[in-house]
Amino acid sequence: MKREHTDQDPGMPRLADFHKPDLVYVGTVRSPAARGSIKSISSPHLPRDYRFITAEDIPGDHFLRLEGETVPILAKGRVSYKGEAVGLIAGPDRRRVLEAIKLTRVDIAPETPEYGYERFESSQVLAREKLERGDCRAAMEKAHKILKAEFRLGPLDHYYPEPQGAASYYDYDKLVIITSTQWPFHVRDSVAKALGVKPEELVVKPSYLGPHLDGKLWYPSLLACHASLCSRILGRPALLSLSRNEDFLYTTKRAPFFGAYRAAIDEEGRLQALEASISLNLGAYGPLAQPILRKILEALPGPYTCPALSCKAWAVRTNLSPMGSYAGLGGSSAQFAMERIADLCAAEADQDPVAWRTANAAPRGDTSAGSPAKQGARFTELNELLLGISDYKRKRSAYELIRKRRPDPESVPGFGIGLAWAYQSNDGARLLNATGPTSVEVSLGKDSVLTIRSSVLPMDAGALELWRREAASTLDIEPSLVRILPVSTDTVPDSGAAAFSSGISVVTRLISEACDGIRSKRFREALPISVRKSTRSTKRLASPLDGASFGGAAVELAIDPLDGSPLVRGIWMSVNAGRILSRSRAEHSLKRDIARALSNCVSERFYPAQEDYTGSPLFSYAPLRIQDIPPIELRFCEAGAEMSPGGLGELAFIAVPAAFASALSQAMDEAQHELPLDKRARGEMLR
Amino acid sequence: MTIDFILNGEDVSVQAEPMERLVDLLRERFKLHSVIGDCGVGLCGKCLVLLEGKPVNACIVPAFRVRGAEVVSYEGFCNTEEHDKARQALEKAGLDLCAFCKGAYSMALGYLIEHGVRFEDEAVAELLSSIHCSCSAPSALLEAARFALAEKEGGRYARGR
Repeated sequence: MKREHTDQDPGMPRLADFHKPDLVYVGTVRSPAARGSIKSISSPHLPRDYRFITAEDIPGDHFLRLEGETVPILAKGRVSYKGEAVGLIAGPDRRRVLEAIKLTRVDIAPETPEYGYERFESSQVLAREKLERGDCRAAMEKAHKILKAEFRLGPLDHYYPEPQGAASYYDYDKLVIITSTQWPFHVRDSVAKALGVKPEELVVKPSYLGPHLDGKLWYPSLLACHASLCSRILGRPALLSLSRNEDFLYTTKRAPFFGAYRAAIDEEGRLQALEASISLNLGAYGPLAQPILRKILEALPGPYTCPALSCKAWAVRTNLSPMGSYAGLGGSSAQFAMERIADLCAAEADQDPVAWRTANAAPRGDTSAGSPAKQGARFTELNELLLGISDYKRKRSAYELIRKRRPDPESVPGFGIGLAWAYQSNDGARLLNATGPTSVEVSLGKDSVLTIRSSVLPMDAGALELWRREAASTLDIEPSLVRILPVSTDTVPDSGAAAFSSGISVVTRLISEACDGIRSKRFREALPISVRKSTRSTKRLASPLDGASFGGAAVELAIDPLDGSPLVRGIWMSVNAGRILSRSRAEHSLKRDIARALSNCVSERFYPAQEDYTGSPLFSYAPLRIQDIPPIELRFCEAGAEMSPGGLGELAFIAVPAAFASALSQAMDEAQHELPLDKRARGEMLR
Repeated sequence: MTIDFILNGEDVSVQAEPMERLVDLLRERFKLHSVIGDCGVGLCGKCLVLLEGKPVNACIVPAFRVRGAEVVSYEGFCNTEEHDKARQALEKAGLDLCAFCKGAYSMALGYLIEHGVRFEDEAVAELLSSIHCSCSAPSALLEAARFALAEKEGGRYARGR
């Protein structure tokens, strides 16, 4: 590797720089069909240093396991999606490996693939969840009005800074694995099972993680199995690095969401009941199906109070590549639907959307989202800030006038502003059964150096500075005396998955608590002093609103009269995420997320690899460029300064799409319930 | 074919297929790891190099195109005054770019500084838009460009005031 682990930069090398003597490059032989049985695989005659590896060569468990679902490491007998790995070719020359892959023929007896998930057979059900709270049927019967709507959210690519991959090599008696993962211990345990060795014989060192948007939870484990298998069989270092095209087509995406909702309101427009039927397309394999469904049910009413809830949710298996989480475990999809419902209810009750939200916000003790909330939805100050910076009320009124009084009702009003609320629970990782409690170990040595050990890897090296400063200020020492040990599964405790902003919301708190522990022992016990802190696992789930981060977004747009595309004029967001550890870092990451969330709405329409697909998705999937990003304004609530630091990673991905859809609905005078936009369909609509 | 060109100020000669991509040539033969061959189709801009002083995506430049030309990669650019100015502007904007786009954005800023482009010119957003990485906020990148170019403008126009 070009960059080795150092104290200053704890282990964030790039996979692209991995190099070792005798390195073999690994390429993946993929299924040409989406569904069927494998009749034969014929590879070309390979030179001596090259090797073709199939499922037969796996010495241990042939499956990767997570949350009750199994994923074949290499397909054997049957294939379930186009591009599924059926074999590996490893050799010293990358070009010859790619040529050999092109010459390899995989003969499949094809069967009709299944891509639909809105209507499905019972055999396609991967997981199901049901929620009944209050008497929904009675509330529907008593309702003043019942509103119906269907919501669709398409797949999204995470667009990582580096395409996914894995490298492995033997270091004396241990196999070292390098991969960009949120969950190093899952990688270690999966590879150990696949190779039939003890986990202690493996060491996982994560490479640069970057903004992962919760997409690197389990797929890196699969790639690590592939690379390690080659190292094991050939006895040489192996590098498997997916091309950007492969990363686009075959790694996990956001699971497409379909929800058919019915909402009941009383005469004053208050939400009385919510009934939802939700299906998610998890593709061929869905190891995260159950946690995603649980999260969707939890987030169903959003930050609002609703006395009666009824929901059935299914995770559906199709013949697309595996789908999973995207900036949270699916709660963003449910909250998007609820925000749209909020707008519909406000319109039906002839109320301002903000007034409706304020009147229906979950109060203290509310049980709509589960256990009684210790604190309600904290939007009062946040809302005032948002309305102030966006000038929402004046613009909304003006655009409503344009909408209602336009001379030609056949034309679109052309202008709109939308607002949405969002919350992000700060203990999302608890929904993953497979992850244990998050642990952090802090030790103060004889040399006065404080060492922090955790397997939760932040997105970049800069985030480590926050931990360093937090620990230094708690113990009143110089930040330069704080050392954060590079993540390596043989030296740090298992801290579970680095997901759902746990780096800030959980690990920071644990570091602070551990430092408090050291402070109390500091002059009573001899050095070195070590304190280990873990999250407590409780059977009773708290309300997701407790300790949550809250955010609100407003989006203003105009419709381009020439092509009908929305031209976003500005985005405003206010956030209450507890104590902000670094204002500049928080602003940067939120602005980045807001830009990305907008891009998700307008231009990141992703068409997964289907049977007839032959093109490169890189040309049709066009994230917004710098010049297309509108002005973004942010405010942080001072009210949160006394609270623990909360996560920010999901807020923009919930609030911005919902506010965008609301603005577009006003500008088009037609409810918009589907994202990302389909430009072709919109063109037709305008004509 | 033999391809002679100037790479980071040094005369070099290499045997390569005419259509071999410049990005592969730089990474594999010259071990210039700042050049990242990500998308391979000229969309992400992470393989940006200066060819005859102009920014190009090395993944869509065939090897024969650099015959007799001058190529500067980030490794060579690091020794220039423009690099220092670009680095200072990035720091001032509070940007901590990832290892994949840092070289490309720095060189783009350096190019804009060297050519005296005004911040208001379309070329600024256009050039920065030709690089795509999800690690940083677009507004912060524009802020960095503003800092970098304001300094240049100050120097140029201050004399006239």
